[in-house]
Amino acid sequence: MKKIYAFESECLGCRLCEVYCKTAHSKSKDIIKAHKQENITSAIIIEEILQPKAVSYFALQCRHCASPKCVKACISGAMHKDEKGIVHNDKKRCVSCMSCVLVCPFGAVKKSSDGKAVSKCDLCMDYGKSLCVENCPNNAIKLLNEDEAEVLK
Amino acid sequence: MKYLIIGNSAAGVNAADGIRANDKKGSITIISNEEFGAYGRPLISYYLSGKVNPESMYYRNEDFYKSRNIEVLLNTEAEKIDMQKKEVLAGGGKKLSYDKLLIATGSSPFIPLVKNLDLSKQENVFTFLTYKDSIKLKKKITGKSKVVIAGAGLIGLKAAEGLFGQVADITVIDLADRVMASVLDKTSADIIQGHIEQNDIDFKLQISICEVQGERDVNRVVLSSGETLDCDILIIAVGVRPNINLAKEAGIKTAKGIIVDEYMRTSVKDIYAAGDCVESVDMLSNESKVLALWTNASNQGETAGFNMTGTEIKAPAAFAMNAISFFGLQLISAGVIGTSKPDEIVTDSAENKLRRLNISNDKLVGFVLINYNQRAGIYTALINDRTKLSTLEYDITSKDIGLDVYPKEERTKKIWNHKGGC
Amino acid sequence: MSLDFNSPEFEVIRDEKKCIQCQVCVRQCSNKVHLYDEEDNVVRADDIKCVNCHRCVVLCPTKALVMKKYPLEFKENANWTAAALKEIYKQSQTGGVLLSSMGNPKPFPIYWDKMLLNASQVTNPSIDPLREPMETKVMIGRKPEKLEFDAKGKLVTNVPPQVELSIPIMFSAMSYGSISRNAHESLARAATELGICYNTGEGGLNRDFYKYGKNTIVQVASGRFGVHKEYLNAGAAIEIKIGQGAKPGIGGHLPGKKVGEDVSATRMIPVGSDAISPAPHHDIYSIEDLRQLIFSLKEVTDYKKPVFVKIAAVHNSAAIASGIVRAGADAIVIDGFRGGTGAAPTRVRDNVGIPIELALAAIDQRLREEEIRNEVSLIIAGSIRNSADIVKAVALGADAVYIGSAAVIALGCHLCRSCSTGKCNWGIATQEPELVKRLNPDIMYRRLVNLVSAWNHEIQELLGGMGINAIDSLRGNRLMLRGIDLNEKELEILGIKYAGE
Repeated sequence: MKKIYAFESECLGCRLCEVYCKTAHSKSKDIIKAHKQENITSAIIIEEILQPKAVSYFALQCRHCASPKCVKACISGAMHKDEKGIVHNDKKRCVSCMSCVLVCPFGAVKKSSDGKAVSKCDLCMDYGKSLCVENCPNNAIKLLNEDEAEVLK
Repeated sequence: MKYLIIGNSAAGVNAADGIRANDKKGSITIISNEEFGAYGRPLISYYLSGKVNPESMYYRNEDFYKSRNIEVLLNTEAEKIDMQKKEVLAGGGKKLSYDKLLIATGSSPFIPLVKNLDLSKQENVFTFLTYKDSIKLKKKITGKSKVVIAGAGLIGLKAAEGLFGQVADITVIDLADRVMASVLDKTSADIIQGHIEQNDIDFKLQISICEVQGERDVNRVVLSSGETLDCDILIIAVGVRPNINLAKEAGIKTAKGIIVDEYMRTSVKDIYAAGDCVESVDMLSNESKVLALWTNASNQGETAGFNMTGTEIKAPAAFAMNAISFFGLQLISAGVIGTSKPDEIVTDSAENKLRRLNISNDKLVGFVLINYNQRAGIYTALINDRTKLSTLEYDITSKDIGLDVYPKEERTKKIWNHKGGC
Repeated sequence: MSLDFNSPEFEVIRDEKKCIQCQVCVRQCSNKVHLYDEEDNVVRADDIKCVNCHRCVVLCPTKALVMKKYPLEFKENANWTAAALKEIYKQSQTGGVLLSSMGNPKPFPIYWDKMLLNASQVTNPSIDPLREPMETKVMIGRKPEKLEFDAKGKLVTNVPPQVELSIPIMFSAMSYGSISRNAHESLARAATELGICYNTGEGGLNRDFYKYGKNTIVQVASGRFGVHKEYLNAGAAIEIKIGQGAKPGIGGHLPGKKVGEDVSATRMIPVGSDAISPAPHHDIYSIEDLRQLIFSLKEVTDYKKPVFVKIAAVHNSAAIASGIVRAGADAIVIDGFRGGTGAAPTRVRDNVGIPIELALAAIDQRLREEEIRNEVSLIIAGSIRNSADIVKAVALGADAVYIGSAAVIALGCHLCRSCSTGKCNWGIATQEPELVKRLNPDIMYRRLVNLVSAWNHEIQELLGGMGINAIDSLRGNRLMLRGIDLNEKELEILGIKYAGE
């Protein structure tokens, strides 16, 4: 299974990935409408790392764990892992109890801005390609299988 | 191989999943004394409030049992375990044989001794633990109902929130000096209480109900303070007790809960137990106790399921944790909140916002977050992994936590962990 | 209140209908032009800080940004132009020498555009490079008078050392310090993949880059930064830099703030110290002195590396070139007055030196007349903009060209000409780690490879059209060129006929 890996050494902290993440998860799928008319939470978390001389960044998305704690903790059955190994949150069933937020060791699940359901990376399965990966200006986010990821570690 | 599971909630369903993942052929039977397929038990307050409709109550898809070839017997009470014959006698004279048995009978509400209280007769007194409880309660309430809730714990408060706006008034009574006394310290509890009070829910703390009055149904409660309250609906939510009788009568070792090892094996061969009916070792205190938590039940159920098929795994470490919201105020907590004597408790609080970290011996042992940051799971992981805080990149009390708290190597290791992930 | 003239050069125009307040521009502008106003939820711009590098324009996800020339007008005056006035305001404020970056922007004639190439029709069939072999490989170095073979057909002539280039293009000298480590890495990796060379510039060579040595020209300049035996032996050839097209007669100055630990180690100077390259080499006052340096370098590299000598194209370049050949150089690099730079005094950049086309034609002609053309390769530099420029240069007599500006443009440069500030938003002319990061060698080396490969295709097409199947056959073949819009004198110097002749 392919997952998204973020590379700190290349991440510029520009947050374009968030812009495209929001667009991908919008109703309109239109970048301007998604931001101006819809209230969408990016499933990506950008971390800023303060170093002695500079700031570095990396983007973090759901790791789609082999044995996901969020799925075990979910009280409504909204959080589930599909046959491909992708962990999804079914927003219709999510009651935003935040149990998944409580247990995700990556802190990769977010309460969405509308408060209705938590947001997390679903690899943009609607699109067939991950928009954050496609639009990162510096190749800092890559969609890789395990072997590819190991090589680039 | 014949697998029999008593109980159809988090532990039972995850056990069935765990079995099916390892044994595609064996027959799996689940029996449940409830009338519904597996539902999200904590959702009953959402059902009560109307936030979740009946279709969304279910914990698994409609085809869950069918697609996994699981037989499910609803409305069926397990009455006796015959260990010699490897049979379970169920209501209606049914005999269900097994090769491997899982007891996941959960817990029942504790009914305190109160003068004149008799749930079998009084139709306006409710417990609040099952979907059925919630359905019955929802039918009974009217816009004029005066509701008294005994117990300001998680269940009592969720019931209060669920009723909000649908009844005339709500009073919550608890013997403790604060809400959610078993989970929260006073500061945190006061924030929660204050927020709930803003929604016109009254609290009477350090008080108990001594007597209920009324001809047939309850129409008044008498409090230990001497005060009386009019009451159309009384909800008893003062705690739960593990359902251990079935196991106990069969001769399985029990204490407060059923005693199991880390493979979820009971004292009797081929019989396993999981969920709210068992005692788990709290990794923070090393004490064996009942940790009635959804996550714990799911984990134990899956662990039991694996071990029943012969795939040996140990149950993940357990400790208390809660994620819950009241009227939009989000509470996330885990571990030891501060009843013990820690080296350091750091509390930052602003209006309706709090972060309390309980640090002991260079380790995080507990936290409370109220409307704080969204990355609570990293704190939970620090507790779970017993991480030495001195090995981290910064003082966790100094700012909001992120994965950047780990040294780069550790961080990369976590992100690149393909097998376990979590 | 200050009376300093303080009008922006560009106006940042933001289409509010398109701006989604994502603040990518805010985060990406090292000049801090963009500013997010949380109270009003709008992004504003401080026009005066904008250098028009287009970083924000390129990254803006909704294409909401446009930079326009600031509309402030002066009263029309063909002599006292706005640019002339602004320079005076600036100098009367600061009392300093005006500094500029990149090449001469003035409207001097571009002779490449006044020469046209020939093509075969009927009498001499053209060649389709997609179907037939086409050689663009060149060997850079001194060629023997003649080749001698023994009875068995084995070559007995001792051939001087050569650098083989699969395409007659190299990346110009740009020092580590003036450009970033990632820019260097991109150039080095691209050169390696393309089978060509890049040039270290005068900043020495980081040891991490020694692995690209076969595709590296190591430079020795007046500051002698980072020069040691291992360095000299690390590359494929050594280049002595006498002058640079953008600033003939002037030395160089890398400000101390760009000398971080890595640059310091590579240049062998203390961290934070200004790296000053003197105008002349203090040991070269004559052709004889130059010969000494050339042979010192040959000695230290065991006569295995060709030695290039680079000069700026100036009035008497042809005579100087002749001297350089006689001093023993294996190749001469001539850098025209449009060549780029990280920083040069504006007056020098815009007024000193001559066009490369004329210098090349004159030097090639002179060396032929003196019958020493074979003793040296001619490499030209100074604003080669496309493959046609290269083909014309070869026809005028060049063996190969250096591309500098074109290479950095491929790396993302938008010619904002603010290199000297060290805040290059594209991660090219900067040493700030956060900015350097923006230039990802994995992406950028590929762009360089693409550019040079594309030009190579075009060179082959143009050669094929002329019925030539090897670039060596075009060299100095000025019959393939015709002039347009040129006077007699220009035609004479270029050695070409007028179109139609």
